[in-house]
Amino acid sequence: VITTSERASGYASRVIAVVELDEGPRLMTNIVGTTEDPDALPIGMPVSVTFVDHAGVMIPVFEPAEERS
Amino acid sequence: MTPSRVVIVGASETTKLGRIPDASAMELHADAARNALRECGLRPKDIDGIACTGLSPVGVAHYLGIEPTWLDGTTVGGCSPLIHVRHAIAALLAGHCNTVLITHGESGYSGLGPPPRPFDPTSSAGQFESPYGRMVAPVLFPMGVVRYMHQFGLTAEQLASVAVAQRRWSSLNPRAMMRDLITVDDVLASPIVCYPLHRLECCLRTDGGGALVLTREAASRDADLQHRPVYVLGSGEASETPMVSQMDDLTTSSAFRSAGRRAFDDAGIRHDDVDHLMIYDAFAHLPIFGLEDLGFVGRGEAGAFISSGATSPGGILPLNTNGGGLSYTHTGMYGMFAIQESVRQIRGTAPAQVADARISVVHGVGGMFGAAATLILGSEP
Repeated sequence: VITTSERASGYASRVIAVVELDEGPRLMTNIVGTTEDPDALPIGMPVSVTFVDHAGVMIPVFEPAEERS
Repeated sequence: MTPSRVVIVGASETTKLGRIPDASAMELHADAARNALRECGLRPKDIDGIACTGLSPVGVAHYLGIEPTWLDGTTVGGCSPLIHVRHAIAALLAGHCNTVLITHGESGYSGLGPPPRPFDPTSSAGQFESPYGRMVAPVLFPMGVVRYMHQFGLTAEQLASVAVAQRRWSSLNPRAMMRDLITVDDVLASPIVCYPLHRLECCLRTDGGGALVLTREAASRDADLQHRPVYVLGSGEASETPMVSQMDDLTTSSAFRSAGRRAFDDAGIRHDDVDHLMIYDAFAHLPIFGLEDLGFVGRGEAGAFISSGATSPGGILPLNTNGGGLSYTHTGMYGMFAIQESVRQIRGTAPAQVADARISVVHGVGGMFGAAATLILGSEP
């Protein structure tokens, strides 16, 4: 997981990351439902998909995965 | 096969560099072109091949009064001028033209040039990356270095040492925009532009340009040259992906590796033959990727190599000796300035001259690791 936050030009800061799916493909995405502290976003952290509205289109973003029992 | 019969006979930057509020991008192309032509005793009517990026070669040729029979407007980002050199070699050796002018000029600070290219929402990046944020260079470029730091243990201090090393070089260069020496602590205390990059790890935004004149070696013997010709011993170009997220491996560039390998094979040189090296440094981690992908050091070793002083003044491998995009100048597409410094080093005219520099490697990036090109320049064929 890669974090970058952006505060210039009026854009809200975000966590932007490349996520690798269990099936193999990688995609650019956002990590949501977490802080923007890099220490809280270790590389390799398991995440799970959720969807948000982006200009009328639902796009995949990811949040920290719940503990698997 | 080795294109050793093409030489650079003219190489110059714009008269001014940095903040040039009274010159358009076109005038920056022209100013650099006039300076380079003067060096080799040529006039626009002597030029029959032209290449440039940013502006159309049609417009630049007309502005200068050139009637070209060969044109190249390859535009793949900051390494485009390196690719123009490679293409010009092929054209000269094929007899498509006799004397090529390659120009560059950007009003990257003052903005007296073409507006930024509109972002294409139907492109792959437009569809699959841009919904997730403001996809500008300081956001996209560092994607890989976060992974690299995790994988190889590169420290924030080692990354910062790239900027420190290059400032040591620029402190010796009166034309560099940033010349005051800095420490690792200074770099880490500068504001975060986009985690993990600090402001002093990001390139400058400046105005300026540069131009090159190339011809076949035989023709250069009759020319009235101010400097000895510089031989282009090898070249390579490659591309990988228009989306940084789709790099095969975020910690290494296949385009870097491919272009570099081709250039080294072309020139028939080994790494310990290289006296001087330029690696396009839009951001501080690019020289780290470049040193490894070109094969100068092993994987994961470049951070320690740079922080040890090996690439600084007095080190074993002088790197980015003009100060680079971080400290010398960066107009937007920096590749031309990297070539210019390599030419100066081979000519022996650099402000921070490396003693007895006979072989120089220039390596450029285009887009966010999307494309790459490498040139190998030498003082002898």
